[in-house]
Amino acid sequence: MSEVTPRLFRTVLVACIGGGLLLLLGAKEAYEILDSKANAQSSQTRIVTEYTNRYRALQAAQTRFVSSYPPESSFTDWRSYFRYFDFPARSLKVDLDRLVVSLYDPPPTPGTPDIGIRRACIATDQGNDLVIQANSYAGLLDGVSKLISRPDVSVEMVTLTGDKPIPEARLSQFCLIFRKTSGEGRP
Amino acid sequence: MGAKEGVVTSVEQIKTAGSSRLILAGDLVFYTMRPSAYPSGFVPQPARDGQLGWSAKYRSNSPKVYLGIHEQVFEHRKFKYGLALDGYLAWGLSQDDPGVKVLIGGGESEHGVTLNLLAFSSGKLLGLELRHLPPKNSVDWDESVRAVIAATTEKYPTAKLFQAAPLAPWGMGEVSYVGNQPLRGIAFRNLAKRRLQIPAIGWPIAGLGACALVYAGAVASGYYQYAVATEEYREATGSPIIAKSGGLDEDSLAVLSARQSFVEKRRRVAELSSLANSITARLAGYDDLKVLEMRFPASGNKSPGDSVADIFLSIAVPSTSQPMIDQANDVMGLISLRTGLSLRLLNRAASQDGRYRLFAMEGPITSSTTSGMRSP
Repeated sequence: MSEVTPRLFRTVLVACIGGGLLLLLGAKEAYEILDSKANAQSSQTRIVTEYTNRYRALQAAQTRFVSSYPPESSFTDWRSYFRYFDFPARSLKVDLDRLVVSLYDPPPTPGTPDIGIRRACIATDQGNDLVIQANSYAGLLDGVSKLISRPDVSVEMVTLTGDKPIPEARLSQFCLIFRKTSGEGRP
Repeated sequence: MGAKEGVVTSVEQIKTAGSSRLILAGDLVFYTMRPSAYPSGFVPQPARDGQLGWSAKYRSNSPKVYLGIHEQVFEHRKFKYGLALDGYLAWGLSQDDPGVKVLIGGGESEHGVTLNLLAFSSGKLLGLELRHLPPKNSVDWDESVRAVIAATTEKYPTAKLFQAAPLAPWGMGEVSYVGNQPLRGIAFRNLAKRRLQIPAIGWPIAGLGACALVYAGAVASGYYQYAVATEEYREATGSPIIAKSGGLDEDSLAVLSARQSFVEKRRRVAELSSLANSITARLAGYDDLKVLEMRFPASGNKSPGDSVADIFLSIAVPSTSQPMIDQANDVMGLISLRTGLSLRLLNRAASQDGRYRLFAMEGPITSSTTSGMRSP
């Protein structure tokens, strides 16, 4: 201790105060930097978590989407579209030779993403309607009801005629909705 | 030594001192002009200025005397102490002529003689030296004194030499004896309660250490937060969902959302087809009433304000004598009663076809209609 002169002491004191201030400022700076990095990271985490939650919330719908609509790969030729409905099994009569299949991509809607579906619209002859017949009205109603209840079917109008010898239903804009193959899982 | 003031040159003399005010001289005070050399056993005292004037204290090149008092003096606190050195300095600094003067003070003790040599010029301290001589009664005493004087005149050739109390006069021609003169006016003080010493240098270093700890703590805590946040981020991004899409993909989320609204879109047509079933069943009992055609416009994106009807019915009934419009009302009343449908006749939609009248009607399907249908 006695080797410490006032001058040395002052030097040490000034150096320590200076060094201490530098350390404190540095501590503040370092903490702020790390804290802001941590906050930035946390907000990224929140974004990711929120994304994950939203994604999860949409999974049920996605599963429903996949299970509701057949993939495009199920259809190999134009007949496969109406074979898909298996009309005879439903006791519905459709004149297969007169059927026309037209494929449509849904027109793009501004602000709405392409959800990856196409439509195969089936009509009798060149008209807009698919004509379906059955042996009885009860059978016709039952069959048509089940047909148009399918999620992968869209129809604009159902017309049932009651004054014909053979019960007949006309389905306007009868379309099969299917997934583009790329829409299997993720878009 | 019964006087008011006594001069002491050793700790033993303090123990036997008879006066209340003591002048410390000789070996009891250590001094130097260089701050680095400081022996142990001496308690540092405030440095003295080797030059007069207010600015001397602050000028780094002005001479200073660093001094310490023997630590054992502090064990005798009942005395007031003055320093012979202070008297020598005051005497020398008051000599403001340019000639060099060397004042030889000091103290004699049983162990020997300690000399303080202070050189002044123009009221400024030029240098100081400490010399130890053998006891006065030793054989080589005279020789030692002459050697000191010779060395001094060699160092300061033009110097006038003075000798001051408490040394006894040597009686040498080249040295004038000024006696007690420098010792007058010395300030006597109680020794500081605590040893007047430089605050422990450990404190600023400890403060620095504390700052370093704060720094380390701040960095550690900040880093910990950052590490936790990073870990959370890693976990969040490590989920299969993120891994599958290779990152956040708002577009795919938008597609999924659009698919959700697509699959959840109310499929009206399904309800209508079951309605048709039930309308047919409910009207089947009326042989006179034939449903020629039922139409269900099943446009899925119908908004509530649209006037488009949900159902069109074409009916054939046998003609009666009633006016056509009255019969139409009757028929619609009957249908309403049976099915809950609230229908209206389409414009010019009544016609006569042989024995039959044909009516075309339309109407909305409301929730009351459907619920009425389900519970007849």
